[in-house]
Amino acid sequence: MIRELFNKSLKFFDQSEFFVVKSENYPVSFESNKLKEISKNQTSGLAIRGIKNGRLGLSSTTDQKRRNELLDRISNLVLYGPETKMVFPGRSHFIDLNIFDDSLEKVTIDQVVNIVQLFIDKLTKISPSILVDSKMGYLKGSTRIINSSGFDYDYDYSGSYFYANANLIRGTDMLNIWDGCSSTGLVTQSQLDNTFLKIQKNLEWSENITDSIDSDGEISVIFTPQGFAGTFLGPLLEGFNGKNFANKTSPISDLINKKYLHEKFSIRDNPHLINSSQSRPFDDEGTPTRVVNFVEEGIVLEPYYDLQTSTQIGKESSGSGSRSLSSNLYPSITNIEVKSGEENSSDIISRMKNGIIVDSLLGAGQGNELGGEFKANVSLGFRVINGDVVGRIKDTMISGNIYKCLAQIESISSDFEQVYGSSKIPFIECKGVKVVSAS
Amino acid sequence: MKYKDIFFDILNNNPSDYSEIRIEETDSTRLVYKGKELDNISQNSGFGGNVRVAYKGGWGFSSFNSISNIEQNLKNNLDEAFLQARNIGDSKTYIAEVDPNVDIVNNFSGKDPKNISIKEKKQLMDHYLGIISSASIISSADIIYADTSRKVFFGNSEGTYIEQDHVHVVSRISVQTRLGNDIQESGFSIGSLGDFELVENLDEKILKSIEKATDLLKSKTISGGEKTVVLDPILAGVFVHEAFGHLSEADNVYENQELKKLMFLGRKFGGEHLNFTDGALIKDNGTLLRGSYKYDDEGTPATVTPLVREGELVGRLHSRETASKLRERPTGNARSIGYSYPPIVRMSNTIIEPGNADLEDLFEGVKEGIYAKNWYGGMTQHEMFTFTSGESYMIRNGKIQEPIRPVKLTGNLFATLKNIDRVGKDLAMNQGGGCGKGGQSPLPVSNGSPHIRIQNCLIS
Repeated sequence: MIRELFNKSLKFFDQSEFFVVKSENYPVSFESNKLKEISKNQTSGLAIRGIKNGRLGLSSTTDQKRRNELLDRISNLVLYGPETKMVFPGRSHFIDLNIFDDSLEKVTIDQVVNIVQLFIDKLTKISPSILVDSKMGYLKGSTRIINSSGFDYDYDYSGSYFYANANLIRGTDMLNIWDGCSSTGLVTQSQLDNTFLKIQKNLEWSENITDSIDSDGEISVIFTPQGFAGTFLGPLLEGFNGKNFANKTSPISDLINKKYLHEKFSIRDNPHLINSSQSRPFDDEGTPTRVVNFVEEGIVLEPYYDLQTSTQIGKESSGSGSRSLSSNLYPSITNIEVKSGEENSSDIISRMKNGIIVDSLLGAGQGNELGGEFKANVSLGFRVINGDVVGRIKDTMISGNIYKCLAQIESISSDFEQVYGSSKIPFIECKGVKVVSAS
Repeated sequence: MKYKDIFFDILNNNPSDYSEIRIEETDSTRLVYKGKELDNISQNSGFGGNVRVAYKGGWGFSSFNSISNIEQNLKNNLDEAFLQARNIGDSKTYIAEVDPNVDIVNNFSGKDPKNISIKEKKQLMDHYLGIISSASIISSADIIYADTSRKVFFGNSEGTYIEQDHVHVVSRISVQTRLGNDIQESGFSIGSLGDFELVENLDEKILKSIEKATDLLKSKTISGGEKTVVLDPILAGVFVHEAFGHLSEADNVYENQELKKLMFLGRKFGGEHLNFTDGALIKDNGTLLRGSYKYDDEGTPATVTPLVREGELVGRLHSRETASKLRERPTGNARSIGYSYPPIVRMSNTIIEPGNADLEDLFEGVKEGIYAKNWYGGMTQHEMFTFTSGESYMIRNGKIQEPIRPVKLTGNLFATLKNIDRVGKDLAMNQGGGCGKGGQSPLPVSNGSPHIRIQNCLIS
């Protein structure tokens, strides 16, 4: 069926590409410590890109009966679409990645429900009035790409995920702690234990609420792995996005091969990370994936590209093309890895005289992200005095510029955590952050 | 009535306490410009559905889009969803009573974007790009135009069958200026329930954005701290959505005894000039707003819900389940962004009702403060909220002065509402927003307010 339509498309366009996806997802949701809903989601769809006379058009559908409309629709769109010189990639050699774990096939909903129930029971044991919303599920799917350069490959993937959002109310104070993990197979007991320990530690640190912090002062800040991701990754990945390089809107587009950040800082995207459901052999337009080094020892190295943006400035795609079924391609990342340092995070904290730990933010990403600026409410953060975590900070905002902060790194921890399911990030202490509190 | 008989055939005589089917057909067109060029142009269509079942307090949900034999497929999904619900159910299903309705509804009005060709849509956006490109100071621009039509077929085991057509037109235009590594941005988002006219004649608005982005390069950042701020209607609308609206969604409260104690009806949140309302039936001078509809995604008729009257909490937003559990009336606020998601409690059109202060009164007596206008976005986590202005000015001795860099305002529900000391008369709506919750984003909503003044607001 697909092949037939594809062959037909070759008569319509100079180049064509089919993106065929199928997935099934089985989540269970707990609300306020209780099992609430069991679901199954099944989706499948087809997206076609056509290029004719150097112009590009895209159309997709999840309606099998309307697949035949796509070619006509794109024939109209390519009259007005953007100009492009890109050529879809042909046959290639891909890394052999194991991202389909067939042991997931044997997992039952009861098993998943049990895992979450045990996790919540453990939490309520240490904090009886805690209310936990949680979701856990497993999924499997396949991606197939066929194009007019002779590419026709597919891969199967699988994964499971778990997250818990713990809520504790004392008077008018509401504490919220979020954490989770994921894997290509069933999340392991040690992943769950780590997630539990993180929540437990945050609960302990939150026992007291501390006084406000003097405004205007720049004090030392330790970002937990989650805090670093929430504060820095958004602006940083905007800065390294090939699209913003091609448009010359990235503030670092003129800084390639220059030392701009602290030498302790190295960051890369690793699409071949083992056990990550984000890993993949080729990207969403058939370019083989590879490790992309953004910064090595403070030196700005390369951005991440998809085909269209790389072609615009005469580069090669880094295999970072990403898309949803109905969206156009855009450069995106898979598994971010920040190089760890030498000191344990607990040592970094105990060395701190007067500062804060930032774990999560509210409202990051509103404002001038591309310029590297951040400004956000600390939704979970702690005060450190003379090496002791003395309590949670509230009604506090932090602001600064990520590039300035990353040039003033004090220390990076040797231990790291899995953030957003797959990124590996250590604790990072830096200067250059402004902290303001309500009185 | 396309699926009426099929739905009722399947929903009748099944062993659940409650069951429903929703099928959706969507069509959308999208034009995206980045840098100073067209980035992509696409048309997408979707088809899919779900079955949701309640049994003894447990819920099962099954969504799908591969349909060869629709009747058999719906039956299989119903069986599956029932087994899921039965796996959980061990007590009682709570679902508030709603009279069955059979209806066909068009939730849109104005110049239908479906009757306008791709060519015309592109010509219009190219024209806007031309205005931007002719300003040499502009380093980059983002233009997004999108229209979506969503046809929803809904039926439940109580005899409700509704077909609703929604059409949305949205556009976001922003321009950037750059001096070295300093990048500044100004822009606007607009939206309407199906009226293409809204995106026509934006020349002046774009010229204004170019001017503002130019001024921003010259303007200064102010140091943070607690200040008196005056919010324009757009930003005050975002404020009521973030600072209050989310906590008035009953799904936060209904299983949380501690939060229930904090958010009890009758609790005083501020002065008598505070009056907040939400409702999909709220109109702006007789026109539908972006968060308007006749029935929500559980088939409950839309309402207008007073949330705060004279500073006191008087109501909250409900699905049928939360209304039943809290023994309140369903408000028609159970909404879903698409067939892969169950409906959850959401806002629709949220407003601060006009007060009696003239605009001058709001600035009166402000020695040093900030006039914050327009918006970038906002977020809430329980009682904490934060939102960002698109443009800001210093206020000194009651007068609006030089522009400053956009500010971020943050606060705490219980403290900040008390600090609102004046509410203006000039209600205006913001229709460019989309709301995200529980992984469902963006949901079309609108919000609005007159100018308001907040004392001791933490800004950064």
